[in-house]
Amino acid sequence: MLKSKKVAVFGERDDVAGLAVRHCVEAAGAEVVYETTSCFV
Amino acid sequence: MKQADILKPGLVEIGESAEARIAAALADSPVLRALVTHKVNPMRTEQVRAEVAAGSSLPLQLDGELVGLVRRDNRAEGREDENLDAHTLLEGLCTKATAAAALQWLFEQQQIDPGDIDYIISCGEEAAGDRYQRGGGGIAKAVGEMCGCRNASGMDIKNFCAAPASALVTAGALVAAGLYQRVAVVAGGSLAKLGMKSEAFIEQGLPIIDDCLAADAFLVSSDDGKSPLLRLDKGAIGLAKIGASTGDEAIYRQLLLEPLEALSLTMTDIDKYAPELHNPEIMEHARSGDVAHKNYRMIAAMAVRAGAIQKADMPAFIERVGMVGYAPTQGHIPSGVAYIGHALNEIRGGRIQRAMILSKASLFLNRLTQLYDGVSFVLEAQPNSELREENLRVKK
Repeated sequence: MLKSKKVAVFGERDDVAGLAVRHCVEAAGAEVVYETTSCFV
Repeated sequence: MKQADILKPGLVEIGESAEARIAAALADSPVLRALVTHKVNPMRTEQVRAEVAAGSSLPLQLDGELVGLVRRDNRAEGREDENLDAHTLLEGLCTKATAAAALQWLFEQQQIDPGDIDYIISCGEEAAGDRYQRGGGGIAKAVGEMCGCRNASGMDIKNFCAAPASALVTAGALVAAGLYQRVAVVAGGSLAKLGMKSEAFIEQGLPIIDDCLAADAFLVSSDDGKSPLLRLDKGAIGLAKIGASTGDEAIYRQLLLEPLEALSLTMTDIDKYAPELHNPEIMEHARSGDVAHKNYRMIAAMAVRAGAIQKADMPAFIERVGMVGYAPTQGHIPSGVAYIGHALNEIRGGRIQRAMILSKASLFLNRLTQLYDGVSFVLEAQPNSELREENLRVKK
Protein backbone atom coordinates (compact mmCIF):
# COMPACT_ATOMS: atom_id res chain seq x y z
CA MET A 1 0.00 0.00 0.00
CA LEU A 2 2.82 2.42 0.87
CA LYS A 3 5.36 1.22 -1.69
CA SER A 4 6.91 4.15 -3.61
CA LYS A 5 4.65 6.64 -1.79
CA LYS A 6 5.93 9.85 -0.25
CA VAL A 7 4.95 10.17 3.43
CA ALA A 8 4.84 13.05 5.91
CA VAL A 9 5.10 11.76 9.47
CA PHE A 10 3.58 13.55 12.45
CA GLY A 11 4.50 11.82 15.70
CA GLU A 12 3.62 12.60 19.31
CA ARG A 13 6.05 12.75 22.20
CA ASP A 14 3.69 10.96 24.60
CA ASP A 15 2.43 8.42 22.10
CA VAL A 16 3.97 7.07 18.91
CA ALA A 17 7.04 9.15 18.12
CA GLY A 18 7.81 10.23 14.55
CA LEU A 19 10.89 8.03 14.39
CA ALA A 20 8.85 4.88 15.14
CA VAL A 21 6.39 5.76 12.37
CA ARG A 22 9.31 6.44 10.00
CA HIS A 23 10.72 2.97 10.64
CA CYS A 24 7.34 1.36 9.96
CA VAL A 25 6.52 3.20 6.74
CA GLU A 26 10.07 2.84 5.39
CA ALA A 27 9.85 -0.89 6.06
CA ALA A 28 6.66 -0.85 4.00
CA GLY A 29 8.53 0.77 1.08
CA ALA A 30 7.57 4.43 1.50
CA GLU A 31 9.84 7.45 1.32
CA VAL A 32 9.60 9.79 4.32
CA VAL A 33 9.79 13.37 3.05
CA TYR A 34 9.00 15.02 6.40
CA GLU A 35 9.10 13.81 9.96
CA THR A 36 8.35 15.60 13.21
CA THR A 37 7.43 14.74 16.77
CA SER A 38 5.24 17.23 18.57
CA CYS A 39 4.28 17.87 22.16
CA PHE A 40 0.60 18.29 23.00
CA VAL A 41 0.91 18.98 26.70
CA MET B 1 0.49 39.60 43.29
CA LYS B 2 0.45 43.08 44.78
CA GLN B 3 2.66 41.78 47.60
CA ALA B 4 4.99 40.27 44.99
CA ASP B 5 5.28 43.62 43.19
CA ILE B 6 8.43 45.50 44.27
CA LEU B 7 8.56 48.24 41.61
CA LYS B 8 8.01 51.92 42.33
CA PRO B 9 5.71 53.01 40.78
CA GLY B 10 3.99 49.69 41.16
CA LEU B 11 3.01 47.23 38.45
CA VAL B 12 -0.13 46.07 40.24
CA GLU B 13 -2.88 48.31 41.57
CA ILE B 14 -5.82 47.12 43.64
CA GLY B 15 -9.06 49.09 43.41
CA GLU B 16 -10.61 50.58 46.52
CA SER B 17 -13.80 48.52 46.07
CA ALA B 18 -11.93 45.27 46.58
CA GLU B 19 -8.92 46.10 48.72
CA ALA B 20 -10.56 45.51 52.12
CA ARG B 21 -12.09 42.21 50.96
CA ILE B 22 -8.77 40.92 49.59
CA ALA B 23 -6.85 42.07 52.69
CA ALA B 24 -9.37 40.28 54.95
CA ALA B 25 -9.09 37.06 52.91
CA LEU B 26 -5.28 37.18 53.16
CA ALA B 27 -5.42 37.87 56.90
CA ASP B 28 -7.71 34.85 57.33
CA SER B 29 -5.27 32.51 55.61
CA PRO B 30 -2.74 30.94 57.99
CA VAL B 31 -0.35 30.52 55.05
CA LEU B 32 -0.79 33.63 52.93
CA ARG B 33 -0.92 36.18 55.75
CA ALA B 34 2.80 35.65 56.31
CA LEU B 35 3.40 36.99 52.79
CA VAL B 36 1.67 40.30 53.50
CA THR B 37 4.59 42.56 54.27
CA HIS B 38 3.38 45.95 53.15
CA LYS B 39 0.14 47.86 53.33
CA VAL B 40 -1.65 48.37 50.04
CA ASN B 41 -2.83 51.84 49.16
CA PRO B 42 -5.88 51.22 47.01
CA MET B 43 -6.51 53.05 43.75
CA ARG B 44 -9.78 54.83 43.11
CA THR B 45 -12.08 52.60 41.05
CA GLU B 46 -12.65 55.31 38.41
CA GLN B 47 -8.89 55.61 38.01
CA VAL B 48 -8.54 51.85 37.56
CA ARG B 49 -11.30 51.88 34.95
CA ALA B 50 -9.80 54.86 33.11
CA GLU B 51 -6.28 53.42 32.99
CA VAL B 52 -7.51 50.05 31.71
CA ALA B 53 -9.66 51.83 29.10
CA ALA B 54 -6.59 53.79 27.96
CA GLY B 55 -5.14 50.54 26.67
CA SER B 56 -1.73 49.51 27.95
CA SER B 57 -2.78 48.15 31.37
CA LEU B 58 -4.54 44.83 31.89
CA PRO B 59 -7.67 44.54 34.03
CA LEU B 60 -7.70 42.28 37.10
CA GLN B 61 -11.15 40.86 37.68
CA LEU B 62 -12.64 38.92 40.55
CA ASP B 63 -15.98 37.20 39.88
CA GLY B 64 -16.43 39.45 36.87
CA GLU B 65 -15.84 42.65 38.82
CA LEU B 66 -12.95 44.98 37.97
CA VAL B 67 -10.77 44.94 41.11
CA GLY B 68 -7.44 46.24 39.88
CA LEU B 69 -4.94 46.37 37.07
CA VAL B 70 -1.46 45.34 35.97
CA ARG B 71 0.63 47.83 34.05
CA ARG B 72 3.82 47.70 32.04
CA ASP B 73 7.13 49.05 33.33
CA ASN B 74 6.54 52.69 32.51
CA ARG B 75 9.94 53.91 33.63
CA ALA B 76 12.23 55.33 30.96
CA GLU B 77 14.32 52.14 30.81
CA GLY B 78 11.26 49.94 30.37
CA ARG B 79 8.93 51.97 28.21
CA GLU B 80 10.05 50.64 24.81
CA ASP B 81 10.77 47.04 25.83
CA GLU B 82 8.16 44.47 24.79
CA ASN B 83 9.55 42.10 27.43
CA LEU B 84 8.34 44.56 30.05
CA ASP B 85 4.78 44.95 28.84
CA ALA B 86 1.92 44.28 31.21
CA HIS B 87 1.21 40.77 29.97
CA THR B 88 4.82 39.55 30.27
CA LEU B 89 5.30 41.14 33.68
CA LEU B 90 2.01 39.58 34.82
CA GLU B 91 3.45 36.16 33.94
CA GLY B 92 6.47 36.88 36.14
CA LEU B 93 4.34 38.18 39.00
CA CYS B 94 2.09 35.11 38.82
CA THR B 95 5.01 32.70 38.99
CA LYS B 96 6.65 34.61 41.84
CA ALA B 97 3.45 34.93 43.88
CA THR B 98 2.35 31.31 43.44
CA ALA B 99 5.84 29.92 44.12
CA ALA B 100 5.98 32.04 47.29
CA ALA B 101 2.56 30.72 48.34
CA ALA B 102 3.72 27.13 47.81
CA LEU B 103 6.96 27.72 49.72
CA GLN B 104 5.12 29.41 52.56
CA TRP B 105 2.73 26.46 52.65
CA LEU B 106 5.73 24.12 52.98
CA PHE B 107 7.13 26.22 55.85
CA GLU B 108 3.78 26.25 57.63
CA GLN B 109 3.07 22.55 57.11
CA GLN B 110 6.54 21.34 58.13
CA GLN B 111 7.12 24.05 60.77
CA ILE B 112 10.30 25.24 59.03
CA ASP B 113 11.96 28.53 59.93
CA PRO B 114 12.62 30.34 56.59
CA GLY B 115 15.98 31.39 58.05
CA ASP B 116 17.07 27.75 58.08
CA ILE B 117 16.95 27.43 54.27
CA ASP B 118 20.45 27.53 52.77
CA TYR B 119 19.64 27.57 49.09
CA ILE B 120 16.64 27.91 46.77
CA ILE B 121 16.25 26.59 43.24
CA SER B 122 13.39 27.90 41.11
CA CYS B 123 12.33 25.66 38.24
CA GLY B 124 9.16 27.25 36.89
CA GLU B 125 8.69 27.90 33.19
CA GLU B 126 8.68 31.69 33.07
CA ALA B 127 11.46 33.71 31.47
CA ALA B 128 11.78 36.94 33.43
CA GLY B 129 14.12 39.70 32.33
CA ASP B 130 14.32 42.61 29.92
CA ARG B 131 15.24 42.60 26.22
CA TYR B 132 18.93 42.21 26.93
CA GLN B 133 18.55 39.12 29.16
CA ARG B 134 15.14 37.57 28.76
CA GLY B 135 15.06 34.43 30.91
CA GLY B 136 18.06 35.63 32.88
CA GLY B 137 16.81 34.13 36.12
CA GLY B 138 16.59 35.54 39.63
CA ILE B 139 13.18 34.08 40.40
CA ALA B 140 14.50 31.78 43.17
CA LYS B 141 15.92 34.67 45.15
CA ALA B 142 12.86 36.84 44.48
CA VAL B 143 10.67 34.08 45.96
CA GLY B 144 13.05 33.54 48.87
CA GLU B 145 13.07 37.27 49.60
CA MET B 146 9.27 37.30 49.69
CA CYS B 147 9.24 34.31 52.08
CA GLY B 148 11.86 35.65 54.49
CA CYS B 149 14.64 33.20 53.59
CA ARG B 150 17.24 35.68 54.77
CA ASN B 151 20.12 33.20 54.92
CA ALA B 152 19.58 31.60 51.53
CA SER B 153 21.03 32.21 48.13
CA GLY B 154 19.62 30.62 45.01
CA MET B 155 19.47 30.16 41.29
CA ASP B 156 17.03 29.20 38.54
CA ILE B 157 17.11 26.00 36.53
CA LYS B 158 15.43 25.78 33.12
CA ASN B 159 14.57 22.51 31.45
CA PHE B 160 11.01 22.92 30.16
CA CYS B 161 8.63 20.51 31.93
CA ALA B 162 11.50 18.46 33.36
CA ALA B 163 13.00 21.44 35.21
CA PRO B 164 11.57 20.39 38.61
CA ALA B 165 13.07 16.91 38.23
CA SER B 166 16.41 18.44 37.17
CA ALA B 167 16.21 20.87 40.09
CA LEU B 168 15.46 18.13 42.61
CA VAL B 169 18.40 16.06 41.39
CA THR B 170 20.64 19.14 41.56
CA ALA B 171 19.35 19.93 45.06
CA GLY B 172 20.05 16.36 46.12
CA ALA B 173 23.56 16.55 44.72
CA LEU B 174 24.26 19.86 46.48
CA VAL B 175 23.12 18.36 49.79
CA ALA B 176 24.95 15.08 49.22
CA ALA B 177 28.14 17.02 48.45
CA GLY B 178 27.80 18.76 51.81
CA LEU B 179 27.55 22.27 50.35
CA TYR B 180 24.10 22.91 51.82
CA GLN B 181 21.88 21.19 54.35
CA ARG B 182 18.43 22.42 53.35
CA VAL B 183 17.62 23.28 49.74
CA ALA B 184 14.14 24.46 48.78
CA VAL B 185 12.98 23.70 45.23
CA VAL B 186 10.13 25.90 44.04
CA ALA B 187 8.12 26.13 40.83
CA GLY B 188 5.57 28.86 40.34
CA GLY B 189 2.50 28.61 38.14
CA SER B 190 2.49 29.23 34.42
CA LEU B 191 0.05 31.93 33.34
CA ALA B 192 0.83 31.22 29.68
CA LYS B 193 -0.50 27.69 30.09
CA LEU B 194 -3.68 28.69 31.86
CA GLY B 195 -6.49 27.36 29.72
CA MET B 196 -4.04 25.88 27.21
CA LYS B 197 -6.46 23.03 26.46
CA SER B 198 -9.61 25.14 26.64
CA GLU B 199 -10.51 25.34 22.94
CA ALA B 200 -12.80 22.30 22.88
CA PHE B 201 -14.44 23.37 26.13
CA ILE B 202 -15.16 26.86 24.78
CA GLU B 203 -16.49 25.45 21.49
CA GLN B 204 -18.99 23.34 23.38
CA GLY B 205 -19.92 25.93 25.98
CA LEU B 206 -18.45 23.84 28.82
CA PRO B 207 -16.58 25.18 31.85
CA ILE B 208 -12.80 25.35 31.29
CA ILE B 209 -11.25 22.80 33.65
CA ASP B 210 -7.57 23.74 33.32
CA ASP B 211 -8.26 26.91 35.20
CA CYS B 212 -5.65 26.99 37.94
CA LEU B 213 -2.11 28.22 38.40
CA ALA B 214 -0.37 25.30 40.12
CA ALA B 215 2.86 25.63 42.09
CA ASP B 216 5.26 23.26 43.82
CA ALA B 217 7.63 23.55 46.76
CA PHE B 218 9.92 20.79 48.02
CA LEU B 219 12.54 20.62 50.73
CA VAL B 220 15.61 18.50 50.02
CA SER B 221 17.66 18.06 53.17
CA SER B 222 20.42 15.89 54.54
CA ASP B 223 19.35 12.45 55.74
CA ASP B 224 17.29 12.73 58.92
CA GLY B 225 16.99 8.96 59.29
CA LYS B 226 13.21 9.13 58.77
CA SER B 227 12.30 10.81 55.50
CA PRO B 228 12.23 8.91 52.20
CA LEU B 229 15.52 8.93 50.33
CA LEU B 230 16.35 10.35 46.91
CA ARG B 231 18.67 7.75 45.39
CA LEU B 232 21.75 9.47 44.00
CA ASP B 233 23.97 6.43 43.45
CA LYS B 234 26.19 6.43 40.40
CA GLY B 235 24.00 5.81 37.36
CA ALA B 236 20.76 6.07 39.35
CA ILE B 237 19.53 9.23 37.62
CA GLY B 238 17.78 8.57 34.32
CA LEU B 239 18.95 10.76 31.44
CA ALA B 240 18.31 11.23 27.75
CA LYS B 241 21.78 11.59 26.32
CA ILE B 242 22.40 13.95 23.40
CA GLY B 243 24.09 11.27 21.34
CA ALA B 244 21.35 8.70 21.84
CA SER B 245 18.60 8.01 19.36
CA THR B 246 15.38 9.97 19.90
CA GLY B 247 13.45 6.73 19.42
CA ASP B 248 11.08 5.82 22.22
CA GLU B 249 12.82 2.60 23.16
CA ALA B 250 16.25 4.20 23.38
CA ILE B 251 14.93 7.06 25.51
CA TYR B 252 12.98 4.78 27.85
CA ARG B 253 15.95 2.45 28.15
CA GLN B 254 17.99 5.37 29.52
CA LEU B 255 15.18 6.71 31.66
CA LEU B 256 13.88 3.45 33.08
CA LEU B 257 16.08 0.43 32.67
CA GLU B 258 19.60 1.80 33.07
CA PRO B 259 18.91 3.63 36.39
CA LEU B 260 17.20 0.54 37.78
CA GLU B 261 20.11 -1.63 36.70
CA ALA B 262 22.46 0.80 38.48
CA LEU B 263 20.40 0.31 41.63
CA SER B 264 20.28 -3.49 41.16
CA LEU B 265 16.51 -3.25 40.82
CA THR B 266 14.05 -4.53 38.23
CA MET B 267 10.96 -2.80 36.92
CA THR B 268 8.72 -4.76 39.28
CA ASP B 269 10.67 -3.46 42.30
CA ILE B 270 9.09 -0.04 41.74
CA ASP B 271 5.68 0.22 43.39
CA LYS B 272 4.53 3.38 41.61
CA TYR B 273 5.71 5.14 38.47
CA ALA B 274 4.90 8.83 38.08
CA PRO B 275 5.21 9.96 34.44
CA GLU B 276 3.19 12.78 32.78
CA LEU B 277 0.15 12.97 35.08
CA HIS B 278 -2.15 15.23 33.09
CA ASN B 279 -5.81 15.04 34.02
CA PRO B 280 -7.53 12.94 31.30
CA GLU B 281 -10.81 14.80 31.85
CA ILE B 282 -9.03 17.78 30.32
CA MET B 283 -6.79 16.00 27.84
CA GLU B 284 -9.32 13.63 26.32
CA HIS B 285 -11.91 16.34 25.89
CA ALA B 286 -9.25 18.47 24.22
CA ARG B 287 -8.64 15.53 21.83
CA SER B 288 -5.09 14.95 23.12
CA GLY B 289 -5.92 11.53 24.57
CA ASP B 290 -5.14 10.16 28.00
CA VAL B 291 -1.51 11.25 28.23
CA ALA B 292 -0.88 9.54 31.57
CA HIS B 293 -2.19 6.23 30.26
CA LYS B 294 -0.11 6.52 27.07
CA ASN B 295 2.98 6.90 29.23
CA TYR B 296 2.01 3.88 31.35
CA ARG B 297 1.52 1.84 28.19
CA MET B 298 5.10 2.68 27.19
CA ILE B 299 6.41 1.88 30.69
CA ALA B 300 4.60 -1.48 30.61
CA ALA B 301 5.97 -2.19 27.13
CA MET B 302 9.47 -1.58 28.43
CA ALA B 303 8.78 -3.97 31.33
CA VAL B 304 7.89 -6.59 28.70
CA ARG B 305 11.04 -5.82 26.69
CA ALA B 306 13.11 -6.11 29.88
CA GLY B 307 11.55 -9.49 30.63
CA ALA B 308 10.09 -8.24 33.91
CA ILE B 309 6.48 -9.11 32.93
CA GLN B 310 4.66 -11.00 30.19
CA LYS B 311 2.84 -9.05 27.47
CA ALA B 312 -0.49 -10.41 28.70
CA ASP B 313 0.24 -8.92 32.12
CA MET B 314 0.52 -5.34 30.84
CA PRO B 315 -2.97 -4.19 31.95
CA ALA B 316 -2.54 -5.66 35.44
CA PHE B 317 0.96 -4.12 35.67
CA ILE B 318 -0.40 -0.71 34.69
CA GLU B 319 -3.19 -1.08 37.24
CA ARG B 320 -0.63 -1.89 39.94
CA VAL B 321 2.10 0.70 39.24
CA GLY B 322 0.01 3.42 37.62
CA MET B 323 -2.55 6.01 38.54
CA VAL B 324 -5.14 8.13 36.79
CA GLY B 325 -3.70 11.53 35.84
CA TYR B 326 -4.96 14.33 38.01
CA ALA B 327 -2.74 17.37 37.45
CA PRO B 328 -3.71 20.53 35.55
CA THR B 329 -1.99 21.31 32.25
CA GLN B 330 0.75 23.37 33.86
CA GLY B 331 3.64 21.63 32.11
CA HIS B 332 6.26 21.39 34.83
CA ILE B 333 3.71 20.35 37.49
CA PRO B 334 2.20 17.18 35.95
CA SER B 335 5.58 16.01 34.67
CA GLY B 336 6.11 13.37 37.37
CA VAL B 337 6.71 15.65 40.34
CA ALA B 338 3.01 16.17 41.09
CA TYR B 339 3.12 12.72 42.70
CA ILE B 340 6.03 13.42 45.06
CA GLY B 341 3.91 14.63 47.98
CA HIS B 342 1.73 11.53 47.68
CA ALA B 343 4.79 9.31 47.25
CA LEU B 344 6.29 10.64 50.48
CA ASN B 345 3.04 9.93 52.33
CA GLU B 346 2.77 6.45 50.85
CA ILE B 347 6.40 5.61 51.66
CA ARG B 348 6.15 7.03 55.18
CA GLY B 349 2.91 5.10 55.65
CA GLY B 350 4.61 1.87 54.59
CA ARG B 351 2.16 1.33 51.74
CA ILE B 352 4.86 1.51 49.08
CA GLN B 353 8.61 1.17 49.27
CA ARG B 354 9.72 2.87 46.09
CA ALA B 355 8.42 5.35 43.53
CA MET B 356 10.05 6.41 40.29
CA ILE B 357 9.51 9.92 38.96
CA LEU B 358 9.81 10.19 35.16
CA SER B 359 9.84 13.65 33.71
CA LYS B 360 9.97 14.65 30.05
CA ALA B 361 10.83 17.94 28.39
CA SER B 362 10.12 19.05 24.82
CA LEU B 363 13.37 20.85 24.18
CA PHE B 364 12.44 21.16 20.51
CA LEU B 365 9.93 23.86 21.47
CA ASN B 366 12.89 26.26 21.65
CA ARG B 367 13.30 25.88 17.87
CA LEU B 368 17.03 25.32 18.41
CA THR B 369 17.16 21.53 18.50
CA GLN B 370 15.09 18.47 17.59
CA LEU B 371 15.91 16.81 20.90
CA TYR B 372 13.68 16.12 23.83
CA ASP B 373 14.86 15.44 27.33
CA GLY B 374 14.00 13.12 30.14
CA VAL B 375 14.99 12.93 33.78
CA SER B 376 14.09 10.17 36.22
CA PHE B 377 14.91 9.30 39.81
CA VAL B 378 13.84 6.91 42.52
CA LEU B 379 12.44 7.80 45.93
CA GLU B 380 12.80 5.05 48.47
CA ALA B 381 11.97 4.17 52.08
CA GLN B 382 14.71 4.32 54.65
CA PRO B 383 16.51 0.98 54.74
CA ASN B 384 15.52 -1.04 57.78
CA SER B 385 14.17 2.03 59.52
CA GLU B 386 12.16 1.43 62.65
CA LEU B 387 9.36 3.36 61.02
CA ARG B 388 9.33 1.04 58.07
CA GLU B 389 9.55 -2.08 60.22
CA GLU B 390 6.65 -0.81 62.27
CA ASN B 391 4.62 -0.05 59.17
CA LEU B 392 5.40 -3.39 57.63
CA ARG B 393 4.33 -5.02 60.85
CA VAL B 394 1.04 -3.12 60.64
CA LYS B 395 0.65 -4.16 57.02
CA LYS B 396 1.25 -7.80 57.86
